Formats: sequence, C-alpha cells, structure tokens
Amino acid sequence: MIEDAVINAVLKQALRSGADFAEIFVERNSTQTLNIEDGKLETISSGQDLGAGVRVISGGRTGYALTNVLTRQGLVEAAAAAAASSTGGNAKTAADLRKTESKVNHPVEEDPFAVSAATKAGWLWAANESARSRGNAIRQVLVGLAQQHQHVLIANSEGLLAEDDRTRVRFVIQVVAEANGDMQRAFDSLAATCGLELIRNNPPETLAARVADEAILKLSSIPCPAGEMPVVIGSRSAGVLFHEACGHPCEADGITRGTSVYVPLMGKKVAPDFVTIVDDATVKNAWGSFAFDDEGTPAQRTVVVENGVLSSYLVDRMQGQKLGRLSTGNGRRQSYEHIPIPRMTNTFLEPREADPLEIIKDTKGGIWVGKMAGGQVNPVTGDFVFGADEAFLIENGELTKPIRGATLIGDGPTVLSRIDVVGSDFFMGPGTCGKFGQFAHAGLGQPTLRVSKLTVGGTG
Amino acid sequence: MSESLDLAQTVLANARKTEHVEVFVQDASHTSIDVFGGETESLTSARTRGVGVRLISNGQMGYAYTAELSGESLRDVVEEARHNATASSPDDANVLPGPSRQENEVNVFDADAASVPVERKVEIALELEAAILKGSDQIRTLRNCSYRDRLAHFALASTSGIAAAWSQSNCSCFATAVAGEGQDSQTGFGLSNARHANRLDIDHTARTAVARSTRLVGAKKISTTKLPAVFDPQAAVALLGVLGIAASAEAVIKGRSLFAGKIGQRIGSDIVTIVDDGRVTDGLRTAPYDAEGVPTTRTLVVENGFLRSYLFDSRSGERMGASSTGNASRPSFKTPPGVAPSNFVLAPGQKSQEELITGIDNGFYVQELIGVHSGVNPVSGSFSVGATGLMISKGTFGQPVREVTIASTVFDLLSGVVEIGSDFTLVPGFLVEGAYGSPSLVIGEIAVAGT
Repeated sequence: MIEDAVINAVLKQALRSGADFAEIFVERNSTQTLNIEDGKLETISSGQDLGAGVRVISGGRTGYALTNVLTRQGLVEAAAAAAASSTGGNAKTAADLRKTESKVNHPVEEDPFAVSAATKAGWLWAANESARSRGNAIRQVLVGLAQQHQHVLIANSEGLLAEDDRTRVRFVIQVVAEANGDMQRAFDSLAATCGLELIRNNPPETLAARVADEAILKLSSIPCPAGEMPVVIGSRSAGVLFHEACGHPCEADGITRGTSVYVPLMGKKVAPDFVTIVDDATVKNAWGSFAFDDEGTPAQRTVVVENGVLSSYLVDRMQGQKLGRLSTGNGRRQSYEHIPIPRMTNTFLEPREADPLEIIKDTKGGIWVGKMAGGQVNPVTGDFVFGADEAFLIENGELTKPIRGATLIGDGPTVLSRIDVVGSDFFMGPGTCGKFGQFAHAGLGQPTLRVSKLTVGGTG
Repeated sequence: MSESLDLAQTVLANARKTEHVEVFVQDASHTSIDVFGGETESLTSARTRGVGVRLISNGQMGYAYTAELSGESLRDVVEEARHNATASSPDDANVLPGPSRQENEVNVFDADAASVPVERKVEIALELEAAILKGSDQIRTLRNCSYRDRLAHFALASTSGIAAAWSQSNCSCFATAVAGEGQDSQTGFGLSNARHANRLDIDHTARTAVARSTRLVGAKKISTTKLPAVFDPQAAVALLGVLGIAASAEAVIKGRSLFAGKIGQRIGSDIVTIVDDGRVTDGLRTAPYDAEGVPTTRTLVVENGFLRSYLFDSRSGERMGASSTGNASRPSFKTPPGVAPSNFVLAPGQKSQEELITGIDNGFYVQELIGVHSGVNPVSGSFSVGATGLMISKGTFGQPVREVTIASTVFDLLSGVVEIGSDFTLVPGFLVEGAYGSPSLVIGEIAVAGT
C-alpha cells in the first residue's frame, strides 16, 4: 500500500519527541450496497475510502492523527500532529520492519467486486418475491446486500509490519406483516467474512420465506407475561446475552479503570462448571474473524470463562501495557478514523451434552426465546436489557403460544450463575457491536440453554 | 467555503447532458480528547474530506463516493454512480430539488472556534473530571470524560441549479460518573454542547453527572406494579427517537411507520406538541440547508395531541404530493441522503421538575431507559424497555430502583402525558440520526415489572 521508506519516515517523525511507541495504520475500504424496499431497487451505492492514522504512545498518553492524504508529506504531517502531545525525552529509533505472515486465513472463493450489480440485484429480487409470496398479510419487504473489501496495513516502531485483507458479505431481510391494524415485524441476516459463496451456498429466498412466515406467525402472538421465570434461550439467539453480559465487562479498558463488575473476580467462580465462554477471531470465515487485529496482533482464541472460572480479559496493546499482559488480539477499530480499543471478535458459549428438546420438556413454565432483537448493557453495573424478537410461552414442557414484546432484564454476574443446563446444539450468527461510538463486526454464538430465573418484562 | 464548492463544481462538470447529477463535498476537522486520572489519555486530531455523487439517468438513481480526491478518482466517482444507476428501478419520484431562496440567515459556525488552542481543550476535559471527582464522596471514578469538536464545511452543486456552501461548528464535553458504596456502583451521564469551546458549561455537566450517579446508589429491584411516572428528560428523549423515525415520510411510504395513515388523528394527550426545527438557535442539527441543499424549516409534527405532518425530503415529498420540509439527511458523504429529523423537540410546559414531583404521592421517577433501540417495535409502537430511577414518595425522591422494565405502547404513553415540565434537554440521537429534545413528562400510569 505504501513503501517501507515512507513508513520509516513516518515512524521516525512520530518518535522524534521521545515517544515510547509509534504505529501507522493504513486502510483502503471499498463498499457496495443494494437494497430493495417497497418493491423498488432504489439506489445502488458504492465507493472507496482511503486513509491512514498515526498513533504515538508516550507513557499512558496516546496521540492520534488521521488523514486521507497518503503522500509522504501528508503522512509525515500526521505523524508530527500525533506526536505533538508527547513530552520530553530523546528521539527513539524504530526497529527494522519485518513482515509478519499470518497462520490464519479466511478464504474468499468468489470476489464480490467481480460480480455485476445486475446479478446481485437478481438475487435480491428473488428473495423479495419469495417473502411476498408467503401470504396476503405481507405488507412490506426489505432485502439488502452489502459487501466490503477492507485492506489494512499496520506497521509499528517495534518492527511489526502486517497486512490483512478482509472481504465481508452481508444479506439482510426484514418483513412487515399486518392483520386487522396489527403490524408485526421479523428480521434476519446472513453474514460472513468471505465472498459471494455465502449467497451461493445459502439461497436468500429460503431465509426470506422463513422470515416472512415468522412475521405472519407473530400476528397471532399474545402479550408476554411479566415477572421472574425460567427462560430457555434457543441457539439462534446467538449469544447476544453473553456478548453483552460477559463479553463487554471482560474488555480490558473497563478493568484498568476499575469500572467493570469483573474487576474483583479474576480466577474466581462466575458461573457453573459447565459454562465455558470463548472469544475466537480464528473461526474460519466468521463475521468477527480476521487474520490480524487492527494493531497487527495475530488472531487468537481466548478462553474468557473456563468451566465457570473467569480466566482471561480481552486485551489490546495499550491496556495490556497497563495490566502487564500481552495483547490477546482484541485491539480493534472501526476504521483509520478511530483509535483501537479492546473489542470482542467472535464470542460464544460452548455446547455441552443436554438435548435441546429435553431442556424445553424439562421446563414446567416460563418462556423460550428463539431470537434476540439486540441488547444493551451498562458495563459498570452489569445491568442489561435484551429484546426477544421471537419467543414462545412454555407450558408443561411444551412451546404453546407465540408471545410479543418480551424483554429480558438482569445483570451479567447473576444470569451467568443461574444457568442450570446447557444444550448440545450450537449456532453462531453475525452482529454489529457499538462501543464508544465505534462499530465492529462481531460473531455471537451459543447452544440452547436455560436460565433458572430471569426478570421478563412484558405487557401481559 | 468556496474551496469545497469549487471542488463540487469540478466534479459536476463530468455530468452528461441528459443526466441529473448532485455533488456533495464534506471537509471536516475534528478534535477528540479523553482524559483519565488527571492525565490526557488520548488526543486525536483529524481532517477528512470526501465527495458523494448522486446521479439520475432515465429515472434510475445511482450513488458513489470517494475519499481520494485526485483528478482520476473524481472522474471515476461519477462513472461509478452512472454504472450503479443502470441496475436500479426507474422511478418518477427520483428528482433533484431546484434552488430556493432562504428566508433568513442561519449561522451555526463560530469562526473563532478554530483558533482555540488544543491545550485549552485538554483543560476543559480535565476541569470536568476534577469537578466530578470532588462533587461527592460517593464518586469512585469516571467511566469516560471527554472533549469533542468538529468544524465542518459542506458544499453542494447540482445540475438543477443548486450551488450552496455552508459551515458548522460543534463543541461538546461529556462524562459518565461512577458512584458507589460497598459492592454497589451506579453511573450518571452529563453533557454540554456549544458552538465555541469557551461556552461549554463544565460545572453544570459535572453537577448533572454527579447527581445522577449518586442518587442511584443503593438501587434495588421493586415488585411488579402500576403507578404514575415522571420521565426525566434524558429518558424521554430516548422515546422521542422512536417518534422521530416514525415521522419520516420515507418510513410512512415504506410501511414501517407507526404514524402511517394517522395524519389529523389524535395520537397523544392535548398538551403534547412536537416540533422539528432545523433553524432553531443552538440546535445540535441546525443548518441553513439540508443534505440535498434545500433550506431547512420548522415543521409542526404533533399539535396539541394531533398528528399534523410528516418530515419530507424531495423524493418522499414527490411521492406523497408534498413539499420537502428540508429533512434530507446523511451521516457523511459515504451515504446517499435519506429522511431524518433535525432538532426534534417536545415543547416544554410551565412547571419546574420539582413542582411536578411534589404533586405525586407514590410514583416512579424514570431516570434512564436502556435497550430502547432493541425494545421498541418501530412498526407497532409497543415496547418493553429496562429502566433505572427512583421511587417518588410523598412528593420527594425515595428508594433508588434498578433492573425493572416498563412495558407500554408509544400511543398509550403519549396519551398518558398529564403534565409537562419547563426543564429541557437536547441530545444527539442514540443510534438514530437527528437531535432530540424533551422536558420532564408526567405519565398518569405505567406498568413496571420487577420481582
């Protein structure tokens, strides 16, 4: 992307006023999106973003400057701006650059940018048709395809030089059904770090039909009962709960600041023996995967909770320095416009032995959650809220009626301790995670499991 | 800034005779400072520029953008928009607005803002942190403490005759305080916005964060019940975000608005009035023009409980036979314009928040809602969201409350508004475009689910 000589000049400038560490992150990001809504393919949008960020660390202080002028002069100016806040000391020398090769890769079979917009539009039209044909109650269908090719180069004053190519494809579908003035919405998506083989191998029409059926079924749903009850969380809920309730509080910035509920709990029991939670950027082609993180640390697998014991935080370079630990490959940033912060990659709870159907059978009363709508957590208190997008009442061990408007509320440590059975199935899905104004691609996964008691908010 | 307008005109010159083309240029500088423990944790300075091109040919629309501003890229970006148009659906509503005269000047740029030294900006964040730490013995630490500013120049040129340039300056400081006792920790957020760094209200921001975190210490779950509620402005704006999305004519056309077909109907109690004002002084989203160069306006959305108008850009206006209300919006040059609120505000009433609370014998003060983006069904308006707050007992704050949910529908809530405060908070939307403002609201009765 840029010559080694330019990188060296940038790092030299960045270290001039005595900083401990300097890094350059260069990114070229190409995107294309197509959406059909209301029976129209309104706009096809595409483009290129190109830019670089220079980071200078001096003690605990980070200076960052970014530019989209990628000439030698533009980059050296950015380096000088980033170094402006580092104080005193003699200029340090950057180590010689050594290119790091990755042991992990996420192969791309069919480059999405080599396929015409018309072909992709054809797939969306087929999905649109498939959803609309499911019944007269279908009022609105939105289908979308987004693709991205992100090429990044990271080089730092310790001699690291790494490049990563990330091709991502995402298909989304949203259906609105209506009966007697009651409107209900269903949503799903398909996304991976790979090429268009994702779409070839998983026909969007099939997913579109399923989502349409879900929206229609929701029309017959009854209001969700409120109160504390057992909640069986199905595998397609895709670990949203553990991402929010366990993943975020394990991110190292909350630990070094002392603002996470997990600060006093390292090495302690936080869940029953049969709960193991992993963050793993090496999962082949998953939505949160990469070869290198955005600081050039190779992708790795980190066990966060091992057999119920809190065993590792999710660490980037900066927080690792503060904690006296190595980065766990969790330094991520949305783009060159952002400073890397500790983030999850693909986070999931590992499956065990229980038959998922038996788990439901074994539950006298409560609710089953098939899909989550997303959630939010306060990492300081651990308090969370999740919307259940698809849910059923459980009566005497059977799923009886679909319910609407269910939300789950609680706090991370309590909900983990109340998991009483973990199933043998597993599903990992794609999510978009927001933190401090930065968005990241995240994989989320889990087996079917049961929380013995959880507060359910509902109107029934 | 004419440099941006010149660039827009240069790109526009690549349009062909039969094409309708609009070129948008954005040139923004920003500073971002985070402090912790009396030290600068990070300081970011940035300048980013980019061009977005909307092209309509034979009724088909395509969009392309680039951050690379070389001559070749500027020609390619028009060609790419042209290519993208060929696979889209032809639509008579695909029109570009023409120029229109501005009624009055809107100035949202303080030229002095650019000359504030970075040392002063760091000081602001440090002063805020220090003020919070000494605000109460119960303050343990801060989750974040930041200063941000953004000076942006925009230009828009089109084949339909628009040639406009405008600038915006925004500064803010904000913090989340962490207060606690024993095992219990609670958070409180404070924010100040201004056109110039020197007009940020640091003391007020600190007091807000301190008060909001300390008064929640010792929070407990309560048992499931129905009772009157006071929504704090920070809680009320979260729900206004849902209404702002619903007010978009684009959402109405596409059948995903809970306001569809409800113009002229009662949707709230007769004291509820909601206005979208793109020209109000000190609005976070105030600008002379919207994202397609149409002058911004003030739109009465809800008047004394009755739904009066949606919010339109040119295309949705064309579809519904209405004029644009100047609500075209885009987060950056990387996205084509869509419809979004500007400053979407529930009009304040007469009584102070204290007076509202004094009148309540047994109620729930909702300080914060969580999970609104996932807990509210934007089509049906039903919701069940998490809440944190305080019990109101005989007109004063009592036991702090956490981990409860509130379930209702947007319409029940709006119809249940029995009093409106004179206090007011305007904040940027959370995961939604636009700025949202509200006073405290008293709701006759809500259902709270706890133990």
